[in-house]
Amino acid sequence: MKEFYKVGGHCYSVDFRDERNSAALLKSSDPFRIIDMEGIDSLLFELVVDDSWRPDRKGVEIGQFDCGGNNHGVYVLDDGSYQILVSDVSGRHCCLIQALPDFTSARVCLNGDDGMRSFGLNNALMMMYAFAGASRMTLLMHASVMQKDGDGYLCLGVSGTGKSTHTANWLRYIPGAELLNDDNPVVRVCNDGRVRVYGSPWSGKTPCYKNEDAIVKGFLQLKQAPYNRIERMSIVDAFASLLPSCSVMKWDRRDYVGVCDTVSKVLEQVPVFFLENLPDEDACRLSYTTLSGKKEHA
Amino acid sequence: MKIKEGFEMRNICGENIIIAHGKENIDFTKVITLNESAALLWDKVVGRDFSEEELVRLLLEEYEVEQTCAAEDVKSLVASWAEAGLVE
Repeated sequence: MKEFYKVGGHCYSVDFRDERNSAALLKSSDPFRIIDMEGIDSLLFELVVDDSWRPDRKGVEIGQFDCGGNNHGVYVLDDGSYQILVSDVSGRHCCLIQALPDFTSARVCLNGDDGMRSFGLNNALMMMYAFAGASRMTLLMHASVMQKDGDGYLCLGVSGTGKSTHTANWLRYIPGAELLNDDNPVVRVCNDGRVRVYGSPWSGKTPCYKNEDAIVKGFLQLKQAPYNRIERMSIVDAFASLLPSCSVMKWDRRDYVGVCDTVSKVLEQVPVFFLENLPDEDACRLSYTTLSGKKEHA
Repeated sequence: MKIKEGFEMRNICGENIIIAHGKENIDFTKVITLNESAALLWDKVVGRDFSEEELVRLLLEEYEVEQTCAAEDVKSLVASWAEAGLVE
């Protein structure tokens, strides 16, 4: 059964070839499922799910990457194709992916119970999306996104920088502000030249899978401090702040250059601010009024 | 000396930024910027062997500066490239 999804304005297909697996493994993708293919002439990627498939050769190891507790073993084949083995936090194999060098097409086999399969398949989709998107001015970012009045505001920063608290305070103190995505939004330079942020089927621990989008007004790089202070970052600092927040294969030139150039295009239009903040209402008002350019938050 | 494999200069919103890709550079997380003259030299020697003397000569061809001044600039540029791990 072939299913189609539309995320960040890009469509992709997931073809479930065996009876064991189905779209039920992709619950968080339900809001993004499409039935009518009219007007869609190209797919970002095509993914085949087939438990009976096994790779016929083994790749050379690029590395083992810790992705928040779970592990991705990455291997490259002679022709530049990739094999990626996704393991969960307990080290159990959940999914094996073999993808073309540009990630426009891949085949996966899944393993384990439904939870493991769902986890493995979602990881495969995120990688496919990020690595195929790099050539299409599209980034899968690690960020928390608030939206208000059609505008989007992205919070960057690893845990411990006050991101969750700042986001929670926005929702509490800025009337009309709502969460668009809490972990993995799509940021894209669209064909009309504008930079938009989109909700996605991936949102970390917060179940927030909104099929909505907003014009990106600004990024916030947070840091906890005993005071509130906001300052616009230079292009170089902004680049250094955004790049580590993007899903990218550093060893792959096509992907890395694609992501760098997309970040550059984003920075041509969107400011990045450095916010040293207390966990309070003033910090939200300061970031909201600065990024939105609005004096009142009503 | 030579600029290491995988280092590449990209124009990021008007800034000349050195990015690093390739399996060897996975742990390279610095963001390095080059000014106009350093970027010009980078473009001329990337991908091949070069010497400090050659950089001085290239600089003198493009800019109206004293030889001693160009030599000093090149010396400090090469030192900073070496410190950042960009050349071998």
